[in-house]
Amino acid sequence: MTPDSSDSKSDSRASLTEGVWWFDANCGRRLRASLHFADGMIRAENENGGRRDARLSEANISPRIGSAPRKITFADGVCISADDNDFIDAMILKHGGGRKNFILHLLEAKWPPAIAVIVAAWLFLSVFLAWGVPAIAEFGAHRVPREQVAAIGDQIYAQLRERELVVAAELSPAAAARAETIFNEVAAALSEEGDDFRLHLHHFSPNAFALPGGRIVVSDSLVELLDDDELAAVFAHEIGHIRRRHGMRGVLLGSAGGLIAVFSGDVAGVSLGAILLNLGYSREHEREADCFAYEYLRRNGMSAALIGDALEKMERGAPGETIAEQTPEENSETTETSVDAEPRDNLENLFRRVLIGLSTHPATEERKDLASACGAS
Amino acid sequence: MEAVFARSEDEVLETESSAGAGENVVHRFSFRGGAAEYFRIWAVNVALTALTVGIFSAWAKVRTNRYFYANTFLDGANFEYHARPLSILFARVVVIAVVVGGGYWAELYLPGSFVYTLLLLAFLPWAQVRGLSFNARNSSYRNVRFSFRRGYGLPYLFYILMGTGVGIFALPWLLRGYHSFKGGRHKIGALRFVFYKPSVMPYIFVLWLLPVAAFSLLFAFAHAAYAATGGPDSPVFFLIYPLAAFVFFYGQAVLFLMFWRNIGSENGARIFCDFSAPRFAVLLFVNFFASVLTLGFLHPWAKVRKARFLAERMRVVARSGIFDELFTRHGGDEDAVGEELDASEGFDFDAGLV
Repeated sequence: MTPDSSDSKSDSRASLTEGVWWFDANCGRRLRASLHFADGMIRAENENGGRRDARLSEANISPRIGSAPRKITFADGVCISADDNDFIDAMILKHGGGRKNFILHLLEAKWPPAIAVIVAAWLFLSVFLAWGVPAIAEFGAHRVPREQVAAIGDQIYAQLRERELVVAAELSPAAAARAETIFNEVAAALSEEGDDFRLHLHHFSPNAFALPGGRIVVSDSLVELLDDDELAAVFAHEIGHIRRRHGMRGVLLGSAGGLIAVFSGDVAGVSLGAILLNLGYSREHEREADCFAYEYLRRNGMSAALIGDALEKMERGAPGETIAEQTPEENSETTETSVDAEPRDNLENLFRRVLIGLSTHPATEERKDLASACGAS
Repeated sequence: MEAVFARSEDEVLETESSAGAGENVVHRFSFRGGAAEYFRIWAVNVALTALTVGIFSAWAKVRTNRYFYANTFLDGANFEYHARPLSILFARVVVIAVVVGGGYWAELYLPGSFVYTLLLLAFLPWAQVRGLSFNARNSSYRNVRFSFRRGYGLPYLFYILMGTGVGIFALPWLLRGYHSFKGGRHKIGALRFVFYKPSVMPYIFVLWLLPVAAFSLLFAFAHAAYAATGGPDSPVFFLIYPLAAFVFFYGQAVLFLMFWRNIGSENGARIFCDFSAPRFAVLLFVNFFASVLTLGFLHPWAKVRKARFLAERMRVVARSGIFDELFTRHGGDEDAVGEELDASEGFDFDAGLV
């Protein structure tokens, strides 16, 4: 505080003479100045005798931000710069200028309130991200009309074919027929009104993924690798993705992440956070699909271990099969509710995992114990 | 390399002082903000942005800019940022409507068409120019506002060429053109800034040679490491990210210097940057990894550190008393249309460039 105390002891007058500068309205000239507060009025005087008056309640005083100089602008554009924030705040309080000029400053001036605000926001965000965002995405996903969901799936599938990310399966007619039979059985058991599940067999490393709307893409190598029951379990898992509309939820969560990134230009590391978050949601989706499959297996008196067995086989890969190709999953992460086994290690994928240390799917070990994960209800 | 960036100081001092009246003196910048203080401001910004599901971000942006402008002093007087949060909020809604809403709309109703691409090609250059002029108009020094004379030819050319891929063959010239466009169209009050068009060689170096060389070397390194360690599990691969990041920041630093070392004003003031590109790249590099590895918690420290670094190493050489001669522009209402819309706010287009 550096009020000019000579005349401010008892009455309501106070002056500030240090660190005050006067800037004219129409040029960059700078003059020494002083500020005087009295009875709801503010007065600025410069070294050449210039003077401006205003009611404190109407004066344009910039909100306080840290210890940066305050600006007081008069109606004709004359601008006063003053260093002593505390003094000006005291004058505003005393002479009636309203707290709005420094209300946020009260939060950030000292550590305890600032830390309290961070903790509150952190709690809020945790709750919001853990339950709010997935709930909103699920709510939204189920309100997108069925035709549009199907249209999105159709389009992705068309693109996959067009760009030759999936190519024709190399299967004997008998093997393809076997897959179709099992698929039709599972789909018939799980279909509800309006469902339209379709199986597409293509050539890539052992894996499977579901597209919004009902298309399920399975690799020829997976069909060869798994026995009938394991294949049924994988189909049930993929149908679970479609039924729960994970594809649409992924799209919505992805755009939510985009919005957060747009809004938080000031927060470095936010994209990393968004990636971690989306991976978290993705793992949650896998668990949901696993539990959906678990329900199917339980109802049909099949072993709950089938999913785990299938995953283990997929991780080991087909004997004699090259697994160097890219899985389609990596190309459009947002839209496809993919698969079951983690994409295999190629150099690229490795970089991603080294950097992020996290994955889209829960660990296979964890997914083997479905009975406890899904609650044997 | 450094000599190419700008005319030498002696040369400038000599030519300017013989041409104009008055004696050239150095006007220093300084930055008076602090990391601890800004950390608390930032924390309140982030917290309120989270609690308001993003709405407060417009206020956060204004408060952040006000803090950094107001704590940056030139010749003992500080800068000011005047934008109104509601303008920025409105602009962000527009950007989201066009970019996200337009994307979904095109995806659903006109899949596979070029409509969305054309929409972005029409919108982004316009938004970028509006952003430049919004930021200029809302910045001041000594109560004199900056301004930006809008023009659209170069931005549209830039986007069309880059959008079609042809631009990559002219990138050095395009970026130098953009620097000139950006630098030469700014004013403070009635005083024009000038961009002294430098040689295109540094642009060629940083936009063509550097990426090609860096990519080849990193690729060779990755393959050698893969072969030597017999697999992708070696921690050696960790090195690739920092190396690539450093090359990127070095390029950024060179471009920063290319812009600022060639800026002056029509009455003979020049800006000098007393640091090398590698030195600045190290700072950007450390800042980035400090921010990311602490999940953003060192971001305030990094931002303050950068502001202080630049303020301590940049200066204006000009006649003494030159700032008293700044005059507010009169009668220019070219900015009146769409005063409220700074559509680029959503993107922070320039954050990377200058």
